[in-house]
Amino acid sequence: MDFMLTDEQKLLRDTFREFCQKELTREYVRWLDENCDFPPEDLVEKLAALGFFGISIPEEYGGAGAGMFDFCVAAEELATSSVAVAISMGLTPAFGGRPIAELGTEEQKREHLPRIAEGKEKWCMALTEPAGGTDILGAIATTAERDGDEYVVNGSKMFISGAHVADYILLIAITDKGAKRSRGLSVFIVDARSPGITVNLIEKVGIHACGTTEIHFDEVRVPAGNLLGTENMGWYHILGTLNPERIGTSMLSLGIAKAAFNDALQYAKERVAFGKPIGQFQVIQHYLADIAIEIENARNLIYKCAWLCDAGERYDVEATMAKIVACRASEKAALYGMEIFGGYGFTMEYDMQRHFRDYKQMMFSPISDEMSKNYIAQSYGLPKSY
Amino acid sequence: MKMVVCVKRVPDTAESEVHIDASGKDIDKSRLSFGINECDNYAVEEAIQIKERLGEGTVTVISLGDKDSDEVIRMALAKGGDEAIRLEDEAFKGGDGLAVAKALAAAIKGLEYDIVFTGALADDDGYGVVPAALGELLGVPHATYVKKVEILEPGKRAKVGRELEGGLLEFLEIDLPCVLGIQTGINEPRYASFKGIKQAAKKEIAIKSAADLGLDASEVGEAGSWAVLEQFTPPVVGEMAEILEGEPDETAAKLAAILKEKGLV
Ligand SMILES: Cc1cc2nc3c(=O)[nH]c(=O)nc-3n(C[C@H](O)[C@H](O)[C@H](O)COP(=O)(O)OP(=O)(O)OC[C@H]3O[C@@H](n4cnc5c(N)ncnc54)[C@H](O)[C@@H]3O)c2cc1C
Ligand SMILES: Cc1cc2nc3c(=O)[nH]c(=O)nc-3n(C[C@H](O)[C@H](O)[C@H](O)COP(=O)(O)OP(=O)(O)OC[C@H]3O[C@@H](n4cnc5c(N)ncnc54)[C@H](O)[C@@H]3O)c2cc1C
Repeated sequence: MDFMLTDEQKLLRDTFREFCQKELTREYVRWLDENCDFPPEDLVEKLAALGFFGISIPEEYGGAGAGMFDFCVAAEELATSSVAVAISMGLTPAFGGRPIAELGTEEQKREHLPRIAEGKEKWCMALTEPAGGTDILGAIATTAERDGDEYVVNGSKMFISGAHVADYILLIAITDKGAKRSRGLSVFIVDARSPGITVNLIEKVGIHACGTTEIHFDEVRVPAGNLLGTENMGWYHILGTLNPERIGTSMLSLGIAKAAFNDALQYAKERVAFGKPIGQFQVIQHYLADIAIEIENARNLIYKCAWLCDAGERYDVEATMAKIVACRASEKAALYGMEIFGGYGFTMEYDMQRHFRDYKQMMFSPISDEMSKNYIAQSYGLPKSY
Repeated sequence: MKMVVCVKRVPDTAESEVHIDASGKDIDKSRLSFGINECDNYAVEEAIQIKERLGEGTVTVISLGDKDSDEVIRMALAKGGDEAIRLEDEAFKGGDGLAVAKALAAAIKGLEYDIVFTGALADDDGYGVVPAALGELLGVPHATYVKKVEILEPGKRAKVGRELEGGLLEFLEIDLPCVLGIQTGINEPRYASFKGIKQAAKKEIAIKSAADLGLDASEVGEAGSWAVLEQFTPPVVGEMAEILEGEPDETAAKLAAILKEKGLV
């Protein structure tokens, strides 16, 4: 077992660390939170120049052909500086790059992958529906009906991140109403500017700079050639996207945890009460130690999942565990962080309030802790509880 | 045009507490992070930009240091450097700016070069000796605190702007080959791209010892230095210093009285 980063990964980490120090300054990240529903285009261009969008895209399609581990090394730096930047910039590699590289036809790969690597396409994924996300098979109602050499899409999607800026939507819809749900779904590449699509932003508590939307599809015509993978096998295809996504979102939680921890640690060293820095009181030290332990745990589990993923091993249960461990670390860091900041934590002047708002999104997205635990328990041979 | 860039790996002390180690001759580096010397980062960028502007040329990266220095070398390669040499030998240890310049000069003499870039100053020891010493040892003109470089005739002449007090620039025409000590702010250093990093990881770094460079151990390192580090000491609180104690209004009153007494206000 080797816990060391390779020389290449160290350079990657150093590059992203330097980038974050210079480009994602505290002021800039705060400005994003207060003013933006998506990071501005110049940031996208800078990250494209670094090769961020092409990290996991095969070399023959203009990417770097690296794995999940390398992606995590870069994403950890981004997420620690700004979870909103990491999530918004992660949408395209997760929902465009990976599914197309894995499921796409040669033509689809040639069309999209080089452009994704260059940062010229933005993607989102539309799975969740108004009737529910956890029980998506029970809730899904959006249909794609074949009509000649097109499909006609009708329905609504809920909580879709980044659809307001997306060029393409990775859509999951019912293509066989009669079949068992898991055998009647298909995945489509939908041009986000197709007639019949309306996108509305939803106001939310945190992660402001990665806006979330609802999408309505009204008689939207999608060319049959835009089917991704095999018709009616969409559920199984999409699981291949959701597992890596779970690693990615764990990394987002870890970023929030680290950011809140760093702020709290610094504050504990500086703030004086009863004649000494509050970091000298044991209770404050224990708060910080507890967060540090959870961060280390989460980090190890996330990188183990990434390593399993790159080694071609199964990691679905581990990634589901990582999701919980990491988001609980972010919760602990944000709650204790608020404690440590005293009254100042509750003001908008410091960033702790942002971590406190941001971590909430990670608790149930993309999967809730409750559902995660159902799944973990089931993997140990207990009866399916849902 | 053939360009050489000298880079140094230094600890980042800007935002860390610095403590003197047990030997008294160094600082405790165990908890510090390291990276390329800031000026050197600009020097690397300048060389790569000149190569890109001219549409031809090579950039060779040289560093004197142990294996850990590979990290800064590879980062320079990832940004657009072509070749790399690292100078490593027990004999190089403890050298002053002159001794370092001797080792670098011996390595550079064996190369074809039009411009040798260094940083103007090292963040750690801050001597600022290497560019001038290197110019002298190579027998070529040199300029330091360079904030602008314009190639007038490739391989022949360049115009350089040197930073003076108050942001003034002094312009000189300089014959090539030459040595330029680059000042921060001359350009905007790029970030390496992931593809560049992957290519850099595959490149070979040639390792040269003192013997490989035809240098005797007595010429380099501490033995070959003019200045030898004796000891680091934290500044001593001088006897002249008087610390005023008490509540703010008391201390302010005392301070005002002293200033008045000494005729300073
Ligand atoms: C900001 C944000 C961004 C999002 N981005 C996207 C996106 O880009 N694309 C996308 O497709 N979706 C996205 N989602 C949707 C997200 O995946 C869902 O919110 C998530 O799946 C939960 O679904 P729900 O909100 O409908 O909650 P529900 O499914 O209604 O769940 C409500 C509660 O019931 C619990 N529950 C449900 N079933 C069980 C059970 N069997 N046992 C125990 N407890 C249970 C849940 O754990 C939860 O606590 C996003 C959501 C948010 C808030
Ligand atoms: C919205 C709001 C409204 C307020 N309204 C009023 C008001 O109307 N009038 C008014 O006078 N004040 C008001 N306050 C101030 C409030 O009473 C203080 O915020 C509170 O006393 C905590 O002080 P502090 O914020 O300076 O935190 P600090 O005293 O700096 O404490 C920071 C952290 O250190 C911990 N700590 C400090 N000392 C110790 C110790 N010995 N052992 C262990 N831990 C320690 C604290 O528990 C806390 O976690 C208000 C504050 C807020 C945020």
